[in-house]
Amino acid sequence: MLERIVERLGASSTQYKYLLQTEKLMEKRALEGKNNFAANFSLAAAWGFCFIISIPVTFIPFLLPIDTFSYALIGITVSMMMIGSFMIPYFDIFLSPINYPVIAHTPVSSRTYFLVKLTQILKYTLLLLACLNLMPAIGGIWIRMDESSEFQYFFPLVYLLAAFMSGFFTIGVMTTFAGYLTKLYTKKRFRNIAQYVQFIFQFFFPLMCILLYYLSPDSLMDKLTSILKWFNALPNAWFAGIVVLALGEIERYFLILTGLAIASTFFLVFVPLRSIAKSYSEYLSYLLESGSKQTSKLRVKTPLFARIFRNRAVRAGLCLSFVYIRRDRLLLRQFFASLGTAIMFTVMFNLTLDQIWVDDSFPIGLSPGFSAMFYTVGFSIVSSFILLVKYSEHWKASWILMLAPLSAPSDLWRGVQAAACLYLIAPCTLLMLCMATVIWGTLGIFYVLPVLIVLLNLVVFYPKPRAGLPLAEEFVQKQLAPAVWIPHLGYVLGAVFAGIQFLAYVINIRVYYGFYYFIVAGGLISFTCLFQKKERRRS
Amino acid sequence: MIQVSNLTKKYGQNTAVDDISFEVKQGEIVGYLGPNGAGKSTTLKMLVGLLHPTSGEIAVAGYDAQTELLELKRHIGYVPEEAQLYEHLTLVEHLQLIGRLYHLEERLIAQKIEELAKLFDMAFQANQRISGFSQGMRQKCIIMSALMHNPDVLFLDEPFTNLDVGTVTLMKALLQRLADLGKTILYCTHILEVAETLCPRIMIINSGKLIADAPVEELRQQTNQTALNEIFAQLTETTGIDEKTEEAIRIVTENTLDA
Repeated sequence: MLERIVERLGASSTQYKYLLQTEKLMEKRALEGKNNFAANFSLAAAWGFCFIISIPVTFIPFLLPIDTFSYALIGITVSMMMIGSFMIPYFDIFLSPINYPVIAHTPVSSRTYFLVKLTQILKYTLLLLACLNLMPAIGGIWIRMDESSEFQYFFPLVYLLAAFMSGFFTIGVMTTFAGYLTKLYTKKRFRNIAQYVQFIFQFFFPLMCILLYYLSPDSLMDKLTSILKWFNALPNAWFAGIVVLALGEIERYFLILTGLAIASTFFLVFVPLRSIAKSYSEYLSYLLESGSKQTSKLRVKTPLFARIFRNRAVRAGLCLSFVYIRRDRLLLRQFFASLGTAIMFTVMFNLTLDQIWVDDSFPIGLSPGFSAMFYTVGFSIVSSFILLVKYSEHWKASWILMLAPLSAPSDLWRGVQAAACLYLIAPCTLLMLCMATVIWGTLGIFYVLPVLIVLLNLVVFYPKPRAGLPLAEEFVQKQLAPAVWIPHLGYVLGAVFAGIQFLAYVINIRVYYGFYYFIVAGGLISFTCLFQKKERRRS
Repeated sequence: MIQVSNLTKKYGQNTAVDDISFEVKQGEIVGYLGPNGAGKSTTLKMLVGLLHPTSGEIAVAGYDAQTELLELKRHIGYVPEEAQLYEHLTLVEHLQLIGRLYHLEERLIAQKIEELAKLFDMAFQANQRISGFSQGMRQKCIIMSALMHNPDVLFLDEPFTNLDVGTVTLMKALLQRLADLGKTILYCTHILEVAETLCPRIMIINSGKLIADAPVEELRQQTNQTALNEIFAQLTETTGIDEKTEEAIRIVTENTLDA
């Protein structure tokens, strides 16, 4: 069956089959001798996270008088957004030219290789889609009869079909986007832009919703209704339309939406994806090119801040990771995707500033909105860096680090932590301090301090690689699962932190100040102690 | 300077290095030869501390590999068989990294980089990323890294691979001079001509076992052969080349299945 589809799409089914088998085998072998349990657990955690996210959607029919279309619309919107943001790390499968030189000279067509890569992405999508939509599909049965059709018992089947279609559509759109980005690599000057625009995925959609909300002059409920109107023009409504139509509500409106869903999916497969598949090998060969600039002068420079550290291993780790933040495609792509989240939260905070978060009645240093925003911004940037700096396509070069006479190889990892503090947390804090100063004047520093200390501790406590060496582990798709769920879990923890801060204030002002000083002083002490402990061990 | 006794490395049932013992004195250049898969690179990896031996003892520059590995590493330079590097770094950044890992002063690092880059005709490419380097340039990069910290013992695994003639000539003379200065060199290669001219003493390993360890002259007398490639073929029992060639031609030109 699959072989026939592959042949229909203009690829060789034999080559497709064996290339796919080889890719699977390579992934399996790459994990041999490593902590396979950790990789499996991370993958399971990603699915579990998707499952948990779907639970609030499932309970909507029990809590609100909602109709089938709105329910399907909410479920499919959540599913598409989660698939979109979860799939970003997996796009390195698509954009990685690592194994390409092995088959580049063989008669494997561009389309065949493209289909192999796309299948690998879809493999992960299927499982995530199932976790995201299974519960909402069952929950749909309980939509009240006056709001639903007589065929409501078919809802799970129809909903799952529409949700899976919407998932494939999302992957199609993202692949098209990634494909055209790769095309930009053919022109050297666009290469950096191709890296930077990754963040669009992460913040574009939520930000548009917020902007629409603020651009609308109506009251709160009218605003919400007017936003929902806009959803009807978006692909998530098209796929929700399929659900309603299939349940027997044959109206012109739902017919149009279903038509749009089917036509756009076909268009996506047969026009942009087909065109990208045709030239995929060409793009990959451009990715293999070096982005090196020609310079004739021999210059020996040390990065800013590196000289602060007397320990040369820390300095080496800092310089190595700093270079990789700036030049490694994998790190850059993740970094700019997380920057999208950071921008989104900053904009969200500023847009909601006057109404909700700033209240004169709060004591100094307390602003749950500001704390949550600063934490989320800092966490998304730092975690995307620390999580991925363990891996590298150049992991084989780690013999250099293993051969070095280092009494504490973890000093190199401390260099990575230092790079995260100096090049990511410091500018982020400065930006937040400027914002806090504009809002609260010189007292702004008290609003910044607790989160800064939490972030510093986060950098120190973040799990380090087993060997303690940066860029020393092979990049295996299965190991990417933490990059999918840890950032999301981090956002939840940020909200919990801001919530506890606020709760302490609600209990008693003294409890709040106690909590504040505990975070600031305790955090500073723990950060300093950990640093000294490592210094002592080294000496 | 290098003392190896009863060194063994096993990968499951497969024995890569089988109970070998040898000693290399200070200022000696010793050629370490053997066919593919004989265990040359595995031996070198154990000597530099990248692999743990299954059994046996290693001492380099007076330091025991099991108890004083860190000190041992400080005194050695290593050129691996494959030029695996952090490709996003430039040559300067790579050498800075190496210098820092060996705890060299920043000014000394800068000075060494400038001088080594000029010596190996790499000054023009010093600020380019390694990803854009040819295989020969990468090999130069590795050699420069191995020499940065003035090691007492050099372990070289096919160091001349992909190098141009000029650099090979320079390297041969350089290794000879380093040996004169008291540096110890263990030179692992397939290129018998280079080993013959550079190494007064040859060790041959085959299927994990050390089958010869003597000066070249002595090996000539033992085997009644004059050229090193003939000595090598005799000791490693590499015979029947003509028959193998005929068989290879038959396989390559075969277009139909045997009935």
